[in-house]
Amino acid sequence: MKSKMFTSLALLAVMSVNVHAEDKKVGTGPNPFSDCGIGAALFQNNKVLAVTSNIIWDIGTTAVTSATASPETCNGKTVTAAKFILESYDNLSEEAARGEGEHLVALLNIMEVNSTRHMEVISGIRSEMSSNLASTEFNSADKKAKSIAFYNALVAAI
Amino acid sequence: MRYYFYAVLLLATLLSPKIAISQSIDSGLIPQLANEKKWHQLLFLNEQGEPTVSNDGFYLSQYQDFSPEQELRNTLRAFNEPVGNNPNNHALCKYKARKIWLESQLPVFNQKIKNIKCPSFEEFKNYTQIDSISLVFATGYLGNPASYYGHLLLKLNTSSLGRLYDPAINFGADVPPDENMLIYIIKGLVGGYSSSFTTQGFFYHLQNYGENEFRDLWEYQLDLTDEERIFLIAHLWELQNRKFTYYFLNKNCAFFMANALNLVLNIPASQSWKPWVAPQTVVQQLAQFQPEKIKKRKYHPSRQSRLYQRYAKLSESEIALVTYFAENPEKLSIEALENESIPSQHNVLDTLIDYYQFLRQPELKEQDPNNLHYSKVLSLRYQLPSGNGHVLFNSSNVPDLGRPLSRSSLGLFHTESDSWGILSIRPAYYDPLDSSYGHVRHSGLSMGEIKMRISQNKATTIESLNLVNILNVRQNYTMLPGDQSHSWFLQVGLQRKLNNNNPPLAGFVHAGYGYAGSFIKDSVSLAGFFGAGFHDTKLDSSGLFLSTNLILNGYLNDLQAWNIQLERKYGFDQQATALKATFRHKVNDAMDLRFNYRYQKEIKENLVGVEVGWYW
Repeated sequence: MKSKMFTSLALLAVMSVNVHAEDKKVGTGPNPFSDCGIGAALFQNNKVLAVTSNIIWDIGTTAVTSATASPETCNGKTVTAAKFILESYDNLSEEAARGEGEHLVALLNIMEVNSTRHMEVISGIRSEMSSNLASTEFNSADKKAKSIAFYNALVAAI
Repeated sequence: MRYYFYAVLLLATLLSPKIAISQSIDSGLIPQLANEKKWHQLLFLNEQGEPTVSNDGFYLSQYQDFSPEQELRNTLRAFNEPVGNNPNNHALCKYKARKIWLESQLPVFNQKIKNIKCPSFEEFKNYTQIDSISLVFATGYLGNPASYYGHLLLKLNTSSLGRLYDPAINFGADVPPDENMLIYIIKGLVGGYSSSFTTQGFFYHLQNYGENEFRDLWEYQLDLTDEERIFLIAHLWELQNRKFTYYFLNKNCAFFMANALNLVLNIPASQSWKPWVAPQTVVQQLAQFQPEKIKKRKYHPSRQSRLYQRYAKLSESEIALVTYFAENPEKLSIEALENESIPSQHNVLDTLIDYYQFLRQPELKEQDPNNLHYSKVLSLRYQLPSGNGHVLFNSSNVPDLGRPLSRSSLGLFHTESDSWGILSIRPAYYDPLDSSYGHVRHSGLSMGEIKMRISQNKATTIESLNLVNILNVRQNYTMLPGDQSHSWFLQVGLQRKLNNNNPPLAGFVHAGYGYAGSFIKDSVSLAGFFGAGFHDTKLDSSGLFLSTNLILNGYLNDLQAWNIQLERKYGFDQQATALKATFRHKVNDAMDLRFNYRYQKEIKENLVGVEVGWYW
């Protein structure tokens, strides 16, 4: 029940960050988790993802295929980034805690963030994720919800 | 009228390049080109010149009248077909590598051929922006029979996306989800699956192998010329999603990767006379025959390797802290670390992060307390200032080094009542004494090992046949709670009962489960097992037994190793107790000597033997 509540909150957070992100040049457009179907497909499925990659890839493909909002944007870098986060959440989260790492570099390159801004963006992600991890509810949430939160932190930092 | 006739002829000629090319190519040249090795490689033909791609669409000839020459003529013909609405479907877009090679072989063809845009290929090329290609070896994994011998990938390196998002070309059997393991093994051996090349992000494989299965990855960046690189990429493009018949032993990832690479390199593994091809052989042959083609070697440590290497770099006080918090996770807090320097706090928490990632089972959520401990450690890590411990991960377990994988030996054995010779052949792979580069230390993995007994009267009989012999000894290098290393063994084959006179060859299966520990910088391991098995010529209950096994294994240095085993079997009507000791001296990469001793308690038999082994 708690997990479902958090899921709902996470989805609301996704929507709100999406609106916020519309003011920015980078990361604008539909949120891949909510608007391109990846998140919806995952939540509908409600399976424990653990780290079984095939599920993510299959769901990712299905989600993009069934996207209703702006297909060209849903096939773009944000969807790529979302899939990468879903697959590599633990590594990204640990590297954000350390403030550096090759998963983070790959993610920022996917999002076309200029290398001169990498430190600044990583710092923003770190700050946001630090707050998230202080929450008990966040720690008991599943990987999908955590991935959404990480994506939101990324978009906000960009 | 005459001008009108010439104008029509000229127009017809221009509109039909097929006529122009077929007229221009020397008719004797086509059979000659069709016999070229490169053309056979492009078509993925076997040694008999027969097609191996099984799904429609790759070959332009019918299977029943296929010949390399016919396929060449059909290819040239297809290249001259008009371009339709979708250029991706045109032969010039589907067969990019064939086009490149024919252009290099046929100057006339080069002049006449159309230049058309191929959006799908361009997307493949642009998406990857490939500036180099790497061969990646994933070390063996004893949790899945198909992965025992390691795995190979090709990584297409780009300069813009970041190394982890580079696409990787994988080759594997198309196995249905939740396939029964026994069915999987049988169908894999007899060609019951199709297989294909597929492309996914490298991070997918890094996650699967490195984080889930704790397998190190070794990346060999190839030093190819621009022409070689483009040619190979075009070939890989042609092979995408083509179907092949999969055979676990010799039509596996190693064979197909070597076959694809042979377009620009020389890796004889795919043309070997052996009925098996192992992935490690491919990297060994790359390093042996074309070392100049290896530009750089990169190590991708698994989560387990990162934990062990990080732990090895800790100071004594840091080890004490890690051990204390691993035993008392509720005591961990920022305050509990405040007397340490920031780098020390980083080291302690980073080691604990790897430790809990090694232990935890995410799918169990709160039911597994390690998930909670992991979240807590990670949260604390965020509270510290940024900074990496900068551990330089490295390993000397380099898979391109070491001995060849197959071993034969000739030995002389003696008891008080008899003497005989033993000739043994082990197709692959290793045992606890000769586990080498790219293998699991103190463990063993062999299949199809046969021992022939040559008696003094020159009679030759089968002494034993091991279909499968796996010993999985995991080491608890950190000695932290939970790193106790669940270990197991499995033996299936034919053996003679030791305590009978002139015993018959009998089928047996023996499995055990236990724990292991390693000591003295992982140079010694001790493993204990409880097991059960069946060993009889008759399928009745008298063949059932329970067992206990104790295995002590050690490496004195790079050349010498020893192994002591105490085994006791408890059967319905008899017991068998054996003490075995073996000492191995490595003469060189291709040769070893082994000294054996065995005592069989029930018949009070002492056996000694010496073996000379060679690797090939």
